[in-house]
Amino acid sequence: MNPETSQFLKDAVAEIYQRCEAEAPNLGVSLDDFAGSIERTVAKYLEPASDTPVTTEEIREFLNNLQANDLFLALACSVGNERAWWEFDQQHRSYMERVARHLAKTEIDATEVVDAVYVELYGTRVVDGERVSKFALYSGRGSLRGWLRTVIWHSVVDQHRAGHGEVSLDEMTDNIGEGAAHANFAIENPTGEDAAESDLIRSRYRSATVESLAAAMLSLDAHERLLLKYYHVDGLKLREISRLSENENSPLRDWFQRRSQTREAKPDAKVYESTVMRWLEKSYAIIQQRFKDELTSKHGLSAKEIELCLDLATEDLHSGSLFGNLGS
Amino acid sequence: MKEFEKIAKVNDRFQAIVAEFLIADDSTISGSLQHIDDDTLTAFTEGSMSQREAKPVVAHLAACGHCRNITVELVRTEMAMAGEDRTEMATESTPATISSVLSGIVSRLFERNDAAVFAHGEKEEDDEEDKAEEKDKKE
Repeated sequence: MNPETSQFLKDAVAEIYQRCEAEAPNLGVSLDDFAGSIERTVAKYLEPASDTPVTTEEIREFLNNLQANDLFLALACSVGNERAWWEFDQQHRSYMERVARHLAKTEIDATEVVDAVYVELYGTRVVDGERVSKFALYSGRGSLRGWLRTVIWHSVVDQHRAGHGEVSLDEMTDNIGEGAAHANFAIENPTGEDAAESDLIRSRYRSATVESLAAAMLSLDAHERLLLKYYHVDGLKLREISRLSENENSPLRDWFQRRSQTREAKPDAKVYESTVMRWLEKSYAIIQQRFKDELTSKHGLSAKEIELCLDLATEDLHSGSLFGNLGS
Repeated sequence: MKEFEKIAKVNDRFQAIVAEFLIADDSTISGSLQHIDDDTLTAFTEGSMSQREAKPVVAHLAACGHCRNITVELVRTEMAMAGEDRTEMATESTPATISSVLSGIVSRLFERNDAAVFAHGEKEEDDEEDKAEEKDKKE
């Protein structure tokens, strides 16, 4: 970070600190603690995210997203300020209990989870003479409530693991909430030496299909691949994906709507299910084009042969043998 | 094969093939990645991350089924909680000091441990968005 950007960060943080202090006096958070936490976050997440030095504009965007009051409260709680704990308990305990009840199987489990999270938040481990509070891990990049939701989710998973003898987290997500872990794909390879010639052709078309599809996927940007995986692998519904991108500062939304006229005219317009459907269609349009280009130019297939590839792939789908060798 | 809502303008057969490809691809690459911390997962699911920070996170999520799965759970939990949030009433319990909160927890833990011994066993773009917006307003 150049000295000018560094100074900008320092000044902006001092201003934010004054605002937080005015809104919640007597929480015992010093400017040094507050600035130190933000500087650590910048160094940990913002600076290494790209090879280019952080710009003033990026710092501004980062600070605009920062949940400063939540961070202020969390820092006060981490040092054990009584007033801060009182505030925290009043603002968040009932929400934590509701989240735990939603995720856990029984009322007793939910209470146990909230208790365990409170203990973690306070901190029982002492390092170099200082108690380590879990609040110290909260950076203010998301809301404190959202962070607590994540912490509780993990705690429910841990509780489940403890009760079920260390099963994998992927397996766990099947059993928690409305979990939709990805399906296990059949990886049987067809065997047998019958119909050798037809098998050879089939094998050629099959490998051309797989290679071309892999190339088509690679031609997508990461946010497009992520969208497709949310949709097809994780089974997220359109409204759930729109929820993920409803924040007007959401980077997902920024990337998908880079050239959108609607976005330019109304930057805060809602992301509807139809909006997400259009994003999916656009991603598919890229894959389809690239898939056909690959089959034509790299594998020298005609339009009729491409159809045959799709027919064979569909047949393989039903027998569960398509893409079976992807992992090998 | 996994069931999913069909994308209207894309051939069903091709969608099914792509879906299976993504599922197979996902199960081959998730294992060896270093996972994302809670703080980052929260910021991502809330969409409150700058583009610079989000870029490596999105790339990771596109490859890592484990972390993506957590974001899926978080979005669903958040949506389930959102309705309740709107009608949230003031908490019945009295706000507490740290010591009273913790001593309550400790005593509950001990009680529960005792009890457990006995209880073992239990263009179009604009048009469509305008329509959607109108519908939204009516609702």
